[in-house]
Formats: sequence, structure tokens, C-alpha cells
Amino acid sequence: MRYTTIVIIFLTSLLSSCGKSPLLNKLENNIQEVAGSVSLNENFPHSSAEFSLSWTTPPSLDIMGSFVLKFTTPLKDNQTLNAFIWMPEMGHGSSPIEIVQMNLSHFNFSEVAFIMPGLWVLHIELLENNQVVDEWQKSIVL
Amino acid sequence: MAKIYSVIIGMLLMGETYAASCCGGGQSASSLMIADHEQEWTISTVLRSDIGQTNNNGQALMDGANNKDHTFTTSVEYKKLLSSRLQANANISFVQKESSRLGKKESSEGFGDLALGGFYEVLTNYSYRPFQPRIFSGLKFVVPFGDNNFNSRKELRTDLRGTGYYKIDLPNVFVINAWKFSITPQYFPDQKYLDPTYAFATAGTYTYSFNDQFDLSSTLQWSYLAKKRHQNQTLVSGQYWEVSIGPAWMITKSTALNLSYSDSTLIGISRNSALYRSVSLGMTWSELL
Repeated sequence: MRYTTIVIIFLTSLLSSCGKSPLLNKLENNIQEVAGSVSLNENFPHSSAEFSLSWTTPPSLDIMGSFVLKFTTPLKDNQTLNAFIWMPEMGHGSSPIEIVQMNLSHFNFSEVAFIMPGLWVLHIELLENNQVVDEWQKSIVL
Repeated sequence: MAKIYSVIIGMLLMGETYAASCCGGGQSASSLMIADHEQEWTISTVLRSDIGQTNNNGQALMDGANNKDHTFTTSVEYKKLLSSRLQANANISFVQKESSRLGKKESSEGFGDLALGGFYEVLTNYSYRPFQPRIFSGLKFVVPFGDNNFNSRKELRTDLRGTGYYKIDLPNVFVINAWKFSITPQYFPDQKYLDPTYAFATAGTYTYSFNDQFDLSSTLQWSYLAKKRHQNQTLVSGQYWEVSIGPAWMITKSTALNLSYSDSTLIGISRNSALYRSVSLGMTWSELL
């Protein structure tokens, strides 16, 4: 029994020295970054199309997210948008985001399903004749 | 005594097969029959609750209070002694998953893994000397029935059941007195949704006997899951520690009842892995040699 106690103490010390256990190393901030902020002005990196993005329902693990994207200059007739979210650390995405085009400068995005905690990347693609010509992305940590 | 010792270790490790249900990993040393048995049947149920996951920095991202991820796994395992040193085993599991988050509820059920394997006793202890070690080397093939992260078709991923990939385990088990240590390299061959990769698991178990009918075992397991790729998708490598503890009760000479609690949040650093707690209940019937 004495040897057993020594081995258990040794193993516990060894493990403690490896790093904090998940129980003692919780990430307290639920949302570290929400696309820069809840509302922000951005532009696509290559085409320089400027837009503002406002979360109407901010990213959460409890409810589907939704946001509105408005361009300062309307898109061309042959241009449209696509969006998806991706977990780069886990190698998967989520269910499709619903996109409703109100007009050439106003898009509503809904059903943004952050299905688990962790690092997510929101991707918004600019399509021209159904081909991706530019992409904007922001990280979100839940 | 040896009989109950074998049973309890097997049961304690049983839940670990599903310890990283989305990504492989886990142990196959649980399928080893240590005691002097001709054959063993085990039926067990594991209830697992996922409560969050860890990121690459080892920080725990706990799930929201309104979200649930529950997995019920029922397994049947058969072990048979083929010769004095050789034994075979087969295990099939049925998995039911329930998930609720983002205002959605989803459930799924189906077979998890089919596992077929065997062990060869490399170093024996026929004289039953208390501090003479025994060494077993084995081979195990895992055939998945559930989906994996690369081909999941459910929004809340309730179709991730069991390992999710074809897998080959090479378990090596070292037994001495009330201690048992295992090292299990695991290979994932090239398959439809996965490029070849590997995993590694090691575990140590100590069993304390109160009397001939009642034992208490504790297990510490470490699993490493290498990076997984399929086409342009990548699953980064991860690792986790699991602590298990549980009693076993020998009801008759051939029947034992087992209870076990496992937790991946308590000790050691974890990276890119699920955080969970599970409880398992099992019954083993054995035939003596």
C-alpha cells in the first residue's frame, strides 16, 4: 500500500507539471471577437468593395446568429454573395447560412449555426457570374 | 480474485473506446481476458455527456448551460480462449445520441463500431507468483458504422458514432500484481474519407481488493490523436487525459456487476479534444477453465 501511494503521488505530480487541467484552465470570455465588433465597416481585400456588417443576433451557442450586410456602392448585376462558417482547428463547418438579397447593396444572413464552442471563421465570398472573385473573413471565438 | 480483477479492468476501460468518439483514439486493451477463463460475455451501457472542448492552447471552452450532448452506448463483447496463450475477442456497439443547441433538437441512433481482435500471451506466469509480470500483445481491427467529421450529414453532428474510421490497433499490455499498463499504437489506413494517419493511447490501472467479492479500480489514460486530413480539410492533432474510478461486485462465481465513472476534465493538459463525463454500468458472465 505504501508503494502504491508513492506511485499515485508521483503520477499526480508528473501530470500537474505537464500543464493545467481543463477544469483549472477555462476560457472565461464567451465571445473574444465578433467579426471585429458587433457592427463594423470593412471591405473585400481585392475588389475593395466597402460594406458594413451588423449582427442583429450576435454569435451564440444558444441561438442562431443573423447579420445584415450593406454595401456603400451597389454590386453589379452579375455579382452576388455566398457565406459559410468554418472551424479551422476542427476541420468542419456548419449548416448552410440562409442569404436573402434585399437589393444590390443590402443582404440579410440568417441561420448562422455555431454548433459548438471554439474558434470559428466567418467567410463571405463575392461571386461574379457564379465564380468566387474575392473573399473576406473574420474569426469568432465562442 | 484474478477473475474479478480481469472483469473490473475490462469494464473500466470499456467506456474509453468511445472517449473520443468523433476522432478515433481510445483503448483496445479492454478486450484482454487476464483471468483463467474459457470465455466471457459482457454487456454494458455507457452514458456520456459532452460539456465542452479544449482549444490548441489547452484552454477549456465550456458549452452553454442550455445545450446538451448525450451519448448512450450499449456494447456486447465476447472473449474466447483459443489455446493456453492465444485468445480472440469481438465487440459490437449500438449508439444513441441526443443533442440540443441553437434552439434545435436532433437525435440519431445506429451501430457504432464492430471490433475484432486477439491477444497472444508473450510472457506467462503459470506459477502465479505475485510479482512476476505477464505481457500480452494483440491486434484489433475496427470497422465503423457511424459517420465521422468529414462526412457528417447532420446539423448537430449526431451521426458521429464510435470511431468513425477503419482502424488497426496494436495493444501491448503489461500486468503485474494489482497493476496493469497498456500501450496501444493505432493506425488509420487510407480510406474514403481519410488520408493515412495514426493515434496513440496509454493507460495505467490499479485495483484495490476489499475482499473476495468487492474491488475498486482506478485508471488513468492518455490519448494522442494525430492530425487527420481529407481533401482540403484538416483536423488538427489533439490529446486528452481521462481518469476513471469504479467498483466491481462479484455476484456469483461466474457473474460480476460493474460501475464506473470517467472524466476528461480533471487532470493533465488537453488540446483540441472533447470534454466529457461518463458513467458506465456492465454485467459480465464468465466460464472458468
